[in-house]
Amino acid sequence: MGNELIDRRTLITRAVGISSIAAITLIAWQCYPPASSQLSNEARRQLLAAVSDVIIPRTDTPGALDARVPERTIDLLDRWASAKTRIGIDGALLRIDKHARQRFGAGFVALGAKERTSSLTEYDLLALQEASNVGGAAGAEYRQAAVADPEYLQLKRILLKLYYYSKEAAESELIYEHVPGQWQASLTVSPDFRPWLGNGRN
Amino acid sequence: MFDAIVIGSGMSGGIAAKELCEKGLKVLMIERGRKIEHGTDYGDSLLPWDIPNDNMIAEDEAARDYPVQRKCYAVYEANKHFWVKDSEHPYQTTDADPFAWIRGYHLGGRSIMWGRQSYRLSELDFEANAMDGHGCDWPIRYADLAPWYSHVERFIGVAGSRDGLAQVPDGDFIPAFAMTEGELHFKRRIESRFPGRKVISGRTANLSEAQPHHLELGRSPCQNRNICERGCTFGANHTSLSSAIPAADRTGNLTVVTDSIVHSLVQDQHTGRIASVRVIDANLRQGRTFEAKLFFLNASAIASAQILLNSRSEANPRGLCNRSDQVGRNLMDHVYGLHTAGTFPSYPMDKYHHGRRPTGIYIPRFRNLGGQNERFQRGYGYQGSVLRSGGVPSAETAGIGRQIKERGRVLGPWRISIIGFGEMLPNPENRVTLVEQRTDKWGMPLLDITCRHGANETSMAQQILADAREMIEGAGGEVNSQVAGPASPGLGVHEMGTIRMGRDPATSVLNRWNQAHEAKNLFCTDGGAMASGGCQNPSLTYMAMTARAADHAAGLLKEGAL
Repeated sequence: MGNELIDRRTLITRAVGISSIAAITLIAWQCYPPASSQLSNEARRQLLAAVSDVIIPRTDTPGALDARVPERTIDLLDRWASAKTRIGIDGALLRIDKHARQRFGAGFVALGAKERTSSLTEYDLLALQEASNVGGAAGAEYRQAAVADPEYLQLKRILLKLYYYSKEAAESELIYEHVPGQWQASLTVSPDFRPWLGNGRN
Repeated sequence: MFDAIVIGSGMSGGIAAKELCEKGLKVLMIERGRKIEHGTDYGDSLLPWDIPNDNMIAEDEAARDYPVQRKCYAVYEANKHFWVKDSEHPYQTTDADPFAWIRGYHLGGRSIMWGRQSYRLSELDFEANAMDGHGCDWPIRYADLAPWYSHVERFIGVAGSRDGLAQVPDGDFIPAFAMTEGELHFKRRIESRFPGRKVISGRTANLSEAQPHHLELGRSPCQNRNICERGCTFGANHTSLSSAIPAADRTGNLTVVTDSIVHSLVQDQHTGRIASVRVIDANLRQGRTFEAKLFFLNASAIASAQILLNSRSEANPRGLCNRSDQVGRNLMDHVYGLHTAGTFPSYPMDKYHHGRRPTGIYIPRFRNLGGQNERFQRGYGYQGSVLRSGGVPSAETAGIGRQIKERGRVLGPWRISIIGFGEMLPNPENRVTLVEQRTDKWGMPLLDITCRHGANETSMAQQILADAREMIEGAGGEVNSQVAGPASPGLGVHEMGTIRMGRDPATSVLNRWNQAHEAKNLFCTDGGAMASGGCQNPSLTYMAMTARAADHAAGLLKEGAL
């Protein structure tokens, strides 16, 4: 998993260009209630497709849609997730949708590409506020994020992991070699060097 | 009748079978779990996108079937078939002080999934009980075991560097896996800033180079995938299945029965010898008996104690070989889970590394060397690594879209991750006992496992964390995260002490040859035999004790002394 450690307050204050961010405070965000009902299958599918496409777009390399991230996410939620997790992920999707309605007057799926990006960029910033990298529990995973919307964080983690651990991304983004062969302890980084994917255990 | 029966096919059982077979004995190996095949039953060929559920065990399944096992770092979807279902193998422990019993029941046992770190105990460790009065004195010293450490290291292949440190004696190594540039920087700064402390390559039972005898067994060099706990089709890490059992098998002297749960040992009351072993067929739930002249108990510390306790009789109401009342007592695990992570912003950013090396660095014990100097007794070491950060961009970092890819393509700074392993003092109140009123589905009494950290462990844990922070900062780094305290006992997966060696039959179960004081043809060489735990990963010591005991036992058998 990635290991960037950026102070979130700094990141928020550097969010130049999102002129309306100041108008959306954490208090206002907390007005979006947790979801108690699940989305329909079709609504979930559409939201996942739209959200994953914005989070990981096709650029010079395949994007989330090319790597079938929405379908694989649905499969994961069906086969792996508990009911609580499924409701939590649905809740995050609903909050993304609600934010879009509040900001742009339409649901996330109905927005154009530019508005989707603006809406989700704002929501991403808000949802990840006040994260902490200090683990508390004895012997537990050191990274226990305390963010404003932990279900959104979980959704984002799932989408990123499914993308990067896809055949499409592993050939073009972070390179995955199933059998690296030799251990090379010291290499010089070149301008076109791409990091390798994962520590094996993914 | 067999010459010898080996109970258990894991780390020590595999070596017992190999050594005894190679000495010409006809050996029966009894394994309670199912048969698995080297290669065929492994998950190491699965590509990440082929593993169901993104390699996560389904949440409901994990909660229902693996509530304890899932706490172990090495348990995930691709290898869950190597871990017991807690739902099918219950035991009793307290909620306030839970013991996590991490197990795998199949041919090869936990040797398939082990962490492979291999360090010798030192003279300091063998003297520790005698010096500070905890536990009972080991009946052997380092010199007794040294040649057997070499014997085992040569056979299994341990990659490491010769560092000249008394607290982790050098071994017969194949070349070490080289340190990264970040680790070399860290090493230089630690050894300069903290005189007496060392940073060495992690000594690991992976074939950095395969020797001819490894190749003869079908093993080949490590491919640096770091998915060893899925089973390694290359046979590059030592396991019973890839290494010891094939060596035993090629002698023509080995018979293996699986799916056979040992219920108890039967002792001849006239001769004191163990006459037979009773087993329950795991599938048919029928009993059968096997006889032999010699018995090696290698079921793992807790299970071996269970067998002895369950072998009670009118003559032995507390269980077999238990006049000392030490069987099941003195359960230890390493003080574990003490993790600290940080970054080194100033380390060279033009260097990287390729491959997923199966080991890292080790910081050997530096506290209480040459006497008791600290507020706690004994000591600890650290395992870890210093690697360039990268991989999947962090979801916690705000930002989406193109910038996520851009972040992912940039190598991050050098990142350190170190985990302390501390020695736990032997305490007779930490023990396993039989729960008379509850049985498993084979009619065996359940176990109650009580194991708590004491004041020494708590004090040591605090210092482990403080030292980790001081070292990272002293080496020019910033600590980014640190746990608050140790993990539950059991999660180190180094359970030891329940059938301890000692000089006095009144206070120990085994003599200097791992031979039961009360049954001359019974030997125990798994973790149960350990009179103390050291802070070093213990499997190498189990294997060395096993080879030594097997040599002695085979000699006694040939002399007619058994």
